[in-house]
Amino acid sequence: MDAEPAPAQVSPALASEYGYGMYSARYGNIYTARQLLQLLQRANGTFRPTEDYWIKGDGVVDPFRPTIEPEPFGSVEELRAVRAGHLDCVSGLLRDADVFVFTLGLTEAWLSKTDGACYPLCPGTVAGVFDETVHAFRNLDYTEVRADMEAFIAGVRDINPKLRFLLTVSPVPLAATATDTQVAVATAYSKSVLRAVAGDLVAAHEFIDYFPSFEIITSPFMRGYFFQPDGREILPRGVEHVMSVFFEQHPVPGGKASVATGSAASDADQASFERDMTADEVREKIKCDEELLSAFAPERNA
Amino acid sequence: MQVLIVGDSHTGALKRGHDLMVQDGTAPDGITWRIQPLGPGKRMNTPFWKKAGDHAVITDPQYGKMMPKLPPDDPRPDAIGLSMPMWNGRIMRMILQSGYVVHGLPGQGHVMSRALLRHMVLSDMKYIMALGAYLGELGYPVFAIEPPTLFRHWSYVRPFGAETCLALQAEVRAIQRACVDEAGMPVIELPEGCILEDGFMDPQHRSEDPTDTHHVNAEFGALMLKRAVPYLRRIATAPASRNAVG
Repeated sequence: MDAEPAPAQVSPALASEYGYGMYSARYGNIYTARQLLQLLQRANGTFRPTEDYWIKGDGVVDPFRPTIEPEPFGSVEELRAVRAGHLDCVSGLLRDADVFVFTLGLTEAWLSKTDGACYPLCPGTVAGVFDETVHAFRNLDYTEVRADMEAFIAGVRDINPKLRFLLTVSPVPLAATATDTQVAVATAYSKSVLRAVAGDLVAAHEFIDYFPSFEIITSPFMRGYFFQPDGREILPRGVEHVMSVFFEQHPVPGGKASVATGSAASDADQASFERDMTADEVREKIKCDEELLSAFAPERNA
Repeated sequence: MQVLIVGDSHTGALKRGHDLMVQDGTAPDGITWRIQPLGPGKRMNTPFWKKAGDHAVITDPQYGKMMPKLPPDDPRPDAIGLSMPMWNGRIMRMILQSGYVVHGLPGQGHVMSRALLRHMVLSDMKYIMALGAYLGELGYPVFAIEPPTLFRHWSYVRPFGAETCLALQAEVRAIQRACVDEAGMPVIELPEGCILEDGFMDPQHRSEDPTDTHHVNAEFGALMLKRAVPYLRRIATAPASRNAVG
């Protein structure tokens, strides 16, 4: 599903730059269960974070998706208007989806001390200002992640009782940690919590399933085969393998899966783009053709 | 002076305007016009040309049939006018049909940022502007001819509303104009008075075809060509300042 598509005919590259087509709506990366829960709460209007914009340069960004556009918004009003439309799309998405796929990514979170708002990035990194009287780091534990996930699942099924869930755990190790432990130790903690929560949610609810991309990539018997030389990023062959296993196990009902590649428009895209013209466009194109014919055809035929 | 004008379907009115000038004996002295369409503008936001030494090859199959290379071999133009960079219908359709409204502009729909609009417009123009820059690098004075703005009869005005269409048109045209200005490309502007108080083009300039809602007629085409003459005379006498003339 793409509940928040880019305007028609925007190039894949530009769409991607503005966060379109990457996820089912333009929410950017959702790293933590707390963020996921608050996305639902913000979409259904039960949570309105106090700190709802960060200053960046001459403009402002959305603290809850600070890199969704390459340039800051020109005003707080613009940010809020664009965000309101986005949250409407999220509401529609959660209401209409049949399956919700979520990858549990991190336990480390940056929270507001004022109202508990959970930011995807530390305030003051890409925008805004870190203020230790307002912002705090928290490494969410099993109980918190489980509670957040349970609350999200219950909340979204209140809106959409038929919704089923497919969980995965990100196989990508932490690049850095805000805890005082070594990053490998922090990674082991984070993945252990997330994997345990995923497993227990599957055990507790018949409408939740787990797909083991984490194990496919990270299991010792894979000997790091799917990792880049940096030992962190996943190689394209790893992604392809995971996706091929996924689609073997989860065939798309009635057709072939389509995965956006973000490549430039091909001839086939162009042909499809012509086919997709609306009746008004067709009429206008005919008029353009006729205009050229009326002005130039006699000369060409001469 | 040889002047080549090339571009989208708005070259049609320029060509018919030229024919009219010849017919009524008002064609400016000393200027030989060649007005050549590539085709409808719909594909001008795609990579429709490529560099080829001392010229551009038109790689879009449809456009290439009309003009395989730019400029053509003979005669060598002394100036090239582009009737391409400032047509706003293409980008307006993309936004209106998708149900979007640009923040701060009137209308109903899913709000998109002004930055996205600006990037959409610049992306829409990039192959045209690159062509203009390349022709400039090859030594040709290149200028743009502003196309008409909206007629009240434009097919999108009824479903989306006059206020929405006019505001979006003005915004898009302003971005296009800033881009063209930044590139140092002189613009032959629409004459004052062709836009009425309601913001639409004066319907007296509409195409002779009453079912055509966005092209102008031969008289207006002739008027636009005549408006280019002072600029052309200037570059003919002051070649060193060709591309700096606005």
